[in-house]
Amino acid sequence: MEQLIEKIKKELIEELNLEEITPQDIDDNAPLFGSEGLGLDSIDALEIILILERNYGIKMANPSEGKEIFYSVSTLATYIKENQK
Amino acid sequence: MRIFVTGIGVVSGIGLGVKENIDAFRHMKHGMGKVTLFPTELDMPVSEVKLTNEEIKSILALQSNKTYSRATLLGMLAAKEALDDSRLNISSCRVGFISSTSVGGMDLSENFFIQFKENNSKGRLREIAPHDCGDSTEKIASFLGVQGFVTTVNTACSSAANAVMLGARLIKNGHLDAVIVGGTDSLCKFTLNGFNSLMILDKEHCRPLDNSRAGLNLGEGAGYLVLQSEKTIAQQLYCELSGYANVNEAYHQTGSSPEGLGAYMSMDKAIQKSGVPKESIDYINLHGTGTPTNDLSESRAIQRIFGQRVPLLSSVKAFIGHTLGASEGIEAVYSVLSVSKGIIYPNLNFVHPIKETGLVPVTHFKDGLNIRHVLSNSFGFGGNNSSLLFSSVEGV
Amino acid sequence: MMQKKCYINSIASIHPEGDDGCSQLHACEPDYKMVITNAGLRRRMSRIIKMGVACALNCMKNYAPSQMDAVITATGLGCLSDTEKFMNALIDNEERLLNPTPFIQSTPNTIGGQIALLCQIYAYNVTYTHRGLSFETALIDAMMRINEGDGNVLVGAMDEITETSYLIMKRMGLLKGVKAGEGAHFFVLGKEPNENTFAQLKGVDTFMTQDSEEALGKRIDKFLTSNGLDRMDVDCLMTGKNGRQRLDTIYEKMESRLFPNACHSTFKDICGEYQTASAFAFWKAANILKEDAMIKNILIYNHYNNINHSLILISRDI
Repeated sequence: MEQLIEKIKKELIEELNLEEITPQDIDDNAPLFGSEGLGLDSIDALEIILILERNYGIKMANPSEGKEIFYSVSTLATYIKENQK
Repeated sequence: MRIFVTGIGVVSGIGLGVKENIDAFRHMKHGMGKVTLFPTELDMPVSEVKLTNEEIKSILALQSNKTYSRATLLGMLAAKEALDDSRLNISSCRVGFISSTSVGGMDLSENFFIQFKENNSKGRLREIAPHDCGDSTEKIASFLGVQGFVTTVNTACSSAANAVMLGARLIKNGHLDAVIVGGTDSLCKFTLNGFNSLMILDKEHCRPLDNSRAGLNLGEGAGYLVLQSEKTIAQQLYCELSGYANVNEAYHQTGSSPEGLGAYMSMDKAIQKSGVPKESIDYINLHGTGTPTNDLSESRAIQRIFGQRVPLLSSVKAFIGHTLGASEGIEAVYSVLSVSKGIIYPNLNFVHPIKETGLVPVTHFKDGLNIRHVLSNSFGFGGNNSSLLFSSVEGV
Repeated sequence: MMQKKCYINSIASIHPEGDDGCSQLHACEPDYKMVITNAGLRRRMSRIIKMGVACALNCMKNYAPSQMDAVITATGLGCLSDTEKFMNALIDNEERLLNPTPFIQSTPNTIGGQIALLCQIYAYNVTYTHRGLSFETALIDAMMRINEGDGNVLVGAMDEITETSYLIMKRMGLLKGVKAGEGAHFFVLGKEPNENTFAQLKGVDTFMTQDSEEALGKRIDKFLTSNGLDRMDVDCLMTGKNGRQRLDTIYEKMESRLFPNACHSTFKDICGEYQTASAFAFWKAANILKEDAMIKNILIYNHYNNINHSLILISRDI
């Protein structure tokens, strides 16, 4: 799980072009979206959906499902573990 | 100085020319179907104009071996209808042409690119030369014989509204006596895929203002108005362009704020500018794309302005699709007819109101009503929000 | 309607620094991290968007964002690298799994939209994309806004070179003897002068190729007269000579026949040729008027590809 979390952090930094942020800066349980967290927005949610499909084979047809799944790196990792093809 | 509409022209997925478009509304015939203009893996309903480029060139008596972007051809059809309708003698005064497009010549350049990508000495130059947004404008202007000021607006989906505004202001500021304003856009693979990547397309026929709405359907077409001030009007006119406004919501790159602040500001400003009391606004031509976000924001903004007394309203986008840079050009034509002929347009596929707002749109075509003022909205990416107000002018 | 006076109160530019022997003149870009400090927005911006936004921020540094009554931008070809990125992905991935970011960034009004978003400016915001007259349209709109009561209008233009656009222009024969260029330029136009005022924007005229030299001369005369001037009043004629001999001759004729006594200046030797290059001329002219007390009226005459022609008159007359 640790490894997966680390991998996800690197993927987020790379795909979302989060300049000046390292994996250590991202708290596993901190919210990814909104101003209290990493400050991601709805376009980032779409990019994360692409990461899920490209890198993990998980198809998410409905972006609105993402709200809970994408809450934090932890919830995202859990989702991937449960659904990875 | 007052600005009047003296000519209108339109082509869309529901018809060529004003008459065909209105008849389609009257008979509830929408323009949605499968994509036929280009090969694509995406299976989405779109509203294509039911004419090939060759057929359009033939109608316009253009040489069939010359290459024109589809947006140019659609624009020529609609702009010519508008100019002919106005009976304006183009050399009798200072006439300009302001057009908008989001796609430009992308229908051609995306073909060019496939070959160029493989080998950069490949690809036909005549397919890339018309790529930029200004190309269609210049070609249409030349086709019409316009000698005066010509320019192109591109603010995504609100473009044509901004073109209308610029045209009106050029007359008011003394730069022009008359102006042909509006927009044109054609379907292309780039745009279809672009919207698909944003996951805002509905795989089914869209349902503007319905609680179950799931996205928009794209369309193509062109719509133009001829605007003149009282100084140069020689014949009957349709209505007055009494108000307009453009604001930036500054909320997000593509989405609108849940409260619809941008929509509220643009409608409010347009109404203020017109001096028309909001109780006299009888109909709203919604931007109404059918996306969960837009329809909710727009509805909330409308309720904020009108309170309990919301005018009749509807979206035409389940008929003609979201025509992007052409949308306010086409929908301004419909709004003008709404005021001058008392028409209200049906909002297709409506079953249940949005639960947060409860607004119920018009679902049947009616004409001959007393429509005093019509508000028409268009909202684009980059927070660009525009509204136009058209008013009836008895006895002018 | 009488045109109210329109003052050029702030200027900013990101442009190439002249001929380094290459056929492409690339802009000297600042460290964007220092100018666009909002990392959340900056991370999505491609080069042209950063160039435009950074330039606009520099231009507005002496103003509160709420003082801007309008944001008017112009670009000839828009956000090319985003367009190419999305196009390439579309082809390579066969329409599957496409990132939305380059698509939304490819719309030409992105720069205007990002300026509004970054600075929370809710005002009128429009983008013009009409080839060699995009910037001129923006100026005309800005002057009308001042006439209509605006206090300050932010006007800007930008275009970028990419390898693809360069190769295509070369193939189309547009770059014979010409250096392709790029840049971003922003200005705050105001209805009142202040201690920073550079000059006054007197007028803008745009037209397609005239039938003859005489017709062009008449057009220029009419433009000057409408601004209360005649040829003798023009101290400096700045032309868009770009090295393409056949198309430069019209400029040479204007210099020798209409304005033999004015000083003759150019600008594309520094910024290169691109559709909104006249914005660099505007920047250069504003600087000249600020620094050289002997120059009172500068007439900029530019054409793009001998199709889009424009005249811009800038004066010291404050």
